[in-house]
Amino acid sequence: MNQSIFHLSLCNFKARLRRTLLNILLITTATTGLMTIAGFGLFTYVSLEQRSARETGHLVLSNPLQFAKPENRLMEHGLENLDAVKKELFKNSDVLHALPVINFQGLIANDNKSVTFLGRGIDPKEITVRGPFINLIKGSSINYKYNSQDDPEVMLGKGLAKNLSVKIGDYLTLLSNTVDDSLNGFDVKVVGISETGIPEIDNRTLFTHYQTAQDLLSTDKVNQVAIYLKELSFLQRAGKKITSAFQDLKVTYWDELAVFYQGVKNLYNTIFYFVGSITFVIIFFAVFNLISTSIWERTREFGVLASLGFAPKEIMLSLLLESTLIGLISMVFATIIYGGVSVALLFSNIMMAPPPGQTTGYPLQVIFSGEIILYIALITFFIVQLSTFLASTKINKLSITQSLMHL
Amino acid sequence: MTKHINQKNRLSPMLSFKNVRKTFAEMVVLKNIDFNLQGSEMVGLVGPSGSGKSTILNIAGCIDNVTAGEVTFNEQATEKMSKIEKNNLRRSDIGFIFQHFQLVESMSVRQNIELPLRLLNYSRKERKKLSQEIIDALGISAIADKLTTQISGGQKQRTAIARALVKKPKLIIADEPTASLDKENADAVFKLFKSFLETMQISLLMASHDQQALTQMHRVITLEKGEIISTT
Ligand SMILES: Nc1ncnc2c1ncn2[C@@H]1O[C@H](COP(=O)(O)OP(=O)(O)OP(=O)(O)O)[C@@H](O)[C@H]1O
Ligand SMILES: [Mg+2]
Repeated sequence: MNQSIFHLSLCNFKARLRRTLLNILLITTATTGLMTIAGFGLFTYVSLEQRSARETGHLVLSNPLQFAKPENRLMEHGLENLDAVKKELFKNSDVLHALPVINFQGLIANDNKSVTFLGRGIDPKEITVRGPFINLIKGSSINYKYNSQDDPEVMLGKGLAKNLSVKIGDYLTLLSNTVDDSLNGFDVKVVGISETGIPEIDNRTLFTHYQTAQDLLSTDKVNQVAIYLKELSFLQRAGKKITSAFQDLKVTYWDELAVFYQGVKNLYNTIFYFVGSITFVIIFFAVFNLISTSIWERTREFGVLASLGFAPKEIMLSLLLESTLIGLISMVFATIIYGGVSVALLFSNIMMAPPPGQTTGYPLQVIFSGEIILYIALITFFIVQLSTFLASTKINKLSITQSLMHL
Repeated sequence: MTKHINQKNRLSPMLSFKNVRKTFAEMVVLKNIDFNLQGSEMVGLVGPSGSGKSTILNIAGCIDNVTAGEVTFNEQATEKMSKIEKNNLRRSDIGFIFQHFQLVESMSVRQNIELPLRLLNYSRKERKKLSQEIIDALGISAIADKLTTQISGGQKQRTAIARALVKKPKLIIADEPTASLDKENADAVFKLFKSFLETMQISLLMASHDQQALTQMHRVITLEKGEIISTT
């Protein structure tokens, strides 16, 4: 390798500093743009995933017939021996919570009217576990401790509360069938009003302690146990272990239940691929244009270099080296800006429009990811080198005398 | 003025054109061009504009090809050389002084002059020494570290001459090297240039309209419409 090649790259890099800086500016902007879009996309997927996984539980343990066959009698396919099941589950160190759920329905009434509801008997910890994905907009959550002597507590969805025009502390009557098909009714106290941002849920759902629900339905079964792991990434490992620990029960993974999540994910995939490919094409042409102009301007110089004995390959190599230098500097800047943007957005609290089917938006955030940096850097690096290669091939096609006459 | 030419070299010319013909598209630019250039010989080319002087220089310097005929450099037919061989020939044996100097604008005067040495992989120390010698001799040390966009025409000329001389090539090809200088400057620079050629025993093939310079050539070839009409 001839020492003059690197020297030539450096000389040009420095001497045409304005050109160099312009190239760096464009490539940095393009790279930062791609990284930020990718980081935002990643954030959208991760938060969507978190949201869905926290709604159902990372894993759901149930009677194998629960999702397979309709019940002839209420709770026919319920899960028995909750305490034993929980005890067994906690032997697995990946398990953070095991929260029973009873789904039921019935009528809820005040003095004036009654409406149907979808009840969810829960372990009140579930509200904490769902974190940012369920908002307590008024009052408090259901008491953790269940005491059959106290008034049973309920938390209503925002729409349902509005429909019944209730305030915190009001009493309502809950009516439902029991497992042996008689009617049962409780007076319940409204302790809180909640919002998930999904109208279908907020208009109908009522939360109560699962033991309240068991009393109302006269059963000691539950529908399922939602298992929350210490990390979502333990899913496969924990799923296998739990499946083998409970031979006669069924373990369902969260994404099999999250029909809504799959739909939104598909929609976002389409959007991100579309936006991504358009951005890629625009960036390719912008970078190609800038680089080939800055190489084309030097045609005469390449003629001079060739007359001095530079081989076309050496000239191309020098250009590629220069582009490498410009590319590397741009990558460093882009990574810094991308990091800056993702940190700034953490504090900025800009909200995105609600995803389809939801009423609340989500914060605009960009995940700073090493993988994104690597892939985007590779992509832009490829664009830069390909542009350089194409432009210098075009120049190498000229004869030396033609290059020397170039203005 | 000595017009002594080495006897041994006369037998095998350094550069030889045999019945060279050159056409661009259908236009005949050179025909029946026959001449030899011996080692250490200085030959001038004159002729009206468009008569083919630059074309001959380009062919002699291996940056253009003939359409027919043969050109040999040290008895090697240049038409049979690969691109790489021609490249290496230019790198080590041929120096160019172009009409418009053609300095590399991204480099300083010194870097331009060192460039041929870099290409020949001279060490840093040797480069510094050789380039400084020629910079001093041509009186451009004051501007040696300026970019070539910041110097005068006369200084560019001296830089171009220094760049062609520094690697001590066998042949220097010069296209109207003094054309853009005033007469006084042209004479002084040319005198200096010629003394270098003599001490370094470098051959010169030069196109020029400068009578003063032409009288100092061993021979002058006159061209008209692509043909040699006289050799003196
Ligand atoms: N690349 C080219 N393509 C087509 N025609 C060319 C090319 N180069 C030179 N010519 C033509 O060849 C002829 C000789 O040109 P050349 O440059 O050799 O003349 P010259 O004697 O150097 O003239 P001048 O004194 O003006 O420099 C001219 O008619 C010119 O138009
Ligand atoms: Mg000419």
